[in-house]
Amino acid sequence: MKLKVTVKRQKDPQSPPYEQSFLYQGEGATVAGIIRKINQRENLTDINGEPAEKIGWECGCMLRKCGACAMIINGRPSLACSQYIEADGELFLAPLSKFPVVRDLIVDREHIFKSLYKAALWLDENMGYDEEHHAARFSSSNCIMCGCCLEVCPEFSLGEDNYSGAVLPVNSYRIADREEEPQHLKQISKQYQKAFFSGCGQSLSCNKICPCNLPVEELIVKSNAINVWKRRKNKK
Amino acid sequence: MNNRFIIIGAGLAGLSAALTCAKNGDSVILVSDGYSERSQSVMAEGGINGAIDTQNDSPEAHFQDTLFSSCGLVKEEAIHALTQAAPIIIKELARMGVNFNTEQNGKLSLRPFGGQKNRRTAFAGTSSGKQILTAINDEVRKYEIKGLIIRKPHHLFRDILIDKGVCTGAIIFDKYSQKEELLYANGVITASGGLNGLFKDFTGSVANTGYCTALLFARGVKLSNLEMIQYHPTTAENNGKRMLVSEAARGEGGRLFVYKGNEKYYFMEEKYPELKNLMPRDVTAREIYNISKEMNCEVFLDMTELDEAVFEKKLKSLREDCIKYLSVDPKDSPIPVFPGIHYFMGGIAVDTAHRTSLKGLYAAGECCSQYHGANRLGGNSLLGAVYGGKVAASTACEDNLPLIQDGERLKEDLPFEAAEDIKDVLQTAMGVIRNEESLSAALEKIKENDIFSLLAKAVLQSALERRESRGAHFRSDYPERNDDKFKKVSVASFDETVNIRFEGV
Ligand SMILES: Cc1cc2nc3c(=O)[nH]c(=O)nc-3n(C[C@H](O)[C@H](O)[C@H](O)COP(=O)(O)OP(=O)(O)OC[C@H]3O[C@@H](n4cnc5c(N)ncnc54)[C@H](O)[C@@H]3O)c2cc1C
Ligand code: SF4
Ligand code: SF4
Ligand code: FES
Repeated sequence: MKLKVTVKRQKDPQSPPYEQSFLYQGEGATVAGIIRKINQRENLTDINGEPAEKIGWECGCMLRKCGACAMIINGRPSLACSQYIEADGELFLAPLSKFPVVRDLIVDREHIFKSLYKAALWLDENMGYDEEHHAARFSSSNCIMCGCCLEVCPEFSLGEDNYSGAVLPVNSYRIADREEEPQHLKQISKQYQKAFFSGCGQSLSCNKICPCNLPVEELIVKSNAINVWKRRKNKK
Repeated sequence: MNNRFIIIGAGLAGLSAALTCAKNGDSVILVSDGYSERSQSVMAEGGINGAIDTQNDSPEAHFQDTLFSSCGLVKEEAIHALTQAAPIIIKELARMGVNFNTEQNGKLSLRPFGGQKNRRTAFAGTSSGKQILTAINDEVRKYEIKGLIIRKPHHLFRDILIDKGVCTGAIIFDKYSQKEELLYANGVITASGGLNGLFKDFTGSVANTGYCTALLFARGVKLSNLEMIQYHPTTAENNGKRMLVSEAARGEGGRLFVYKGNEKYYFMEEKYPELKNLMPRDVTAREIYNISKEMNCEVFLDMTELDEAVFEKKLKSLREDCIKYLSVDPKDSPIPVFPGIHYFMGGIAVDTAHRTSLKGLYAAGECCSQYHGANRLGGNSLLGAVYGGKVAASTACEDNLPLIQDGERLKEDLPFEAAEDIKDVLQTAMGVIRNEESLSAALEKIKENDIFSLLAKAVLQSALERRESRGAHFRSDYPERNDDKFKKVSVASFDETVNIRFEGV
């Protein structure tokens, strides 16, 4: 396979972005596999033979489990370790655009983590086990905080309002479904309405993008039902 | 109360330690390369061990299996405490909200795992690590909001501060802003994971570079059992590293075979009629390695006979990974597998209370050498990480060392990662089967004296000097176990040169 890999690069947060291309020749691989191969070259040169710095990116598991490697791949947000490239052609890589760039493909996603603790997502008193909602709670616990759903969300930007995007409803469900302490539940619900419900335009662009195939729409509907409409079937 | 601790690593061990300190009213600076969600702990699939089933199992039986598998290289006191605590820890995790699989009656489901006679592995599908981490992380948030736990994500540990033989703090480096920060504390707990970064190919996270262990070793902290590296029997190539096919596959009924002509030969079942495909990992890995060399053939893992329902309820993500990364649906065809580096039983030497050889420094989780000896049982490391984190933190709180705002650091320029040639050398010499010649030759090739080279030497020398075969360490030139000489822990220390000594457990 012969591939022209173009990367939108940036030396540091202050420098202007630029594009640089590399030639990749080898077997079909995931985007993560391709970046690793390029970075392993001893003296890295770009497509014009000019010396180049290693491509800055984050990765961990190489298996869609850690969320580190999210980026924009041919115009679409995804995980580098989940996209296979098997045919000749061009590959265009850019950092997620909704977060501040640290370097090259690395962005600072602190906002995601902050929004979860502001939302008071922990259990004070666990209601205990029930089979009925197990699958949905399991999905809610499997969010890898990659940020792909925020990239496509028309309402999300790192502005003043601190809108959370779909990450909050996805993660809120496992807590809202089990929390038994009424005061805490109220606190969760209040913050939820402020940080998510009042801002969500319900366009559902976030639904199909999740690289972990989480049922994002279902979790939004379920979290809304508890946090906004106060409908919780399993109330004791 | 009111002490401050630095914890390096925010995987399960680091989080568990942080919770323990915070519950004690102490504050924590939690330093990690990535957020907890990015740590290797989220990759754990199969589950966590504990004698929950009081009718058919007991902590005593768990203790015996762990001891047996360790080949005598663990402190009995430590694994006794571990196995006693296990059922309590699992119940605590369930209370925190871990979505364990359960039976009709609400009791936790348990799956059989390699090297264990009873069912005692609690699990959450094949995402056990992620599900456990999410729940602990939710719990940690309670203390983050109170300001008791302060996270320093995207920070690398660089060095410790030592004042008159006591560890007084650490130097950390923000990967994002490229700034260094100096922190003092009443104790430092390292929970920095395994030594993946010393090798080319492994199942774990590429973020675990082994830097912390390398640095600490260079600073005089003792390491032990470095030669004990677990090869997981069933892994496959995935984009330049190994992908695990979890033991859960065999726990749920998967079988290993090779083709003899057109016939499937189930070699493990033939050779080991009792535990069959669930022999301990060291044995299974060697059997796969040997049969593939002898017969010059591929070894397959056959899951085609498992029910659709088993895949759906218990092995969902495992199946998805195989389809995505190996282009094989395990329901339709067997998967070619081969052993790959998976876990480091050895690491930072600790006493039963998780103190290292340096006062004020504690270690927990995969970076330390505590509960697994010469061979780890699947499901015991999540347990060891959660429990070890607790013990290390409790000890640090009890030791109650004074805050000393002074200390020396190393003056040299420190690398961030091991050089590629070190990885090549170790990958080859520290294979499933080792011998004097290749280990000595490998040692010759390590010429530098940077922290990674020192650690590499320590690993090779430990393997060289253990002239016997025990657990994960197999020497073709010394194929027998030699209890007289080697029922001992190998201890590596650095003081101008790398030294290995064998000490009583
Ligand atoms: C694919 C796979 C499946 C597994 N399945 C199971 C299983 O089913 N059951 C089981 O019991 N065990 C399993 N294990 C083993 C188990 O997952 C690990 O042993 C365990 O999670 C280790 O936890 P830890 O907290 O010690 O380290 P990790 O989770 O590896 O965390 C290490 C932390 O240290 C940080 N760190 C590392 N270096 C630095 C540095 N220089 N500076 C700052 N921070 C640093 C990292 O960012 C991370 O936060 C599996 C392992 C793998 C790879
Ligand atoms: S539904 Fe639309 S507005 Fe709401 S979180 Fe999803 S993408 Fe954003
Ligand atoms: S919901 Fe999906 S896309 Fe959004 S952060 Fe979680 S894993 Fe990523
Ligand atoms: S490297 Fe972990 S999700 Fe891609």
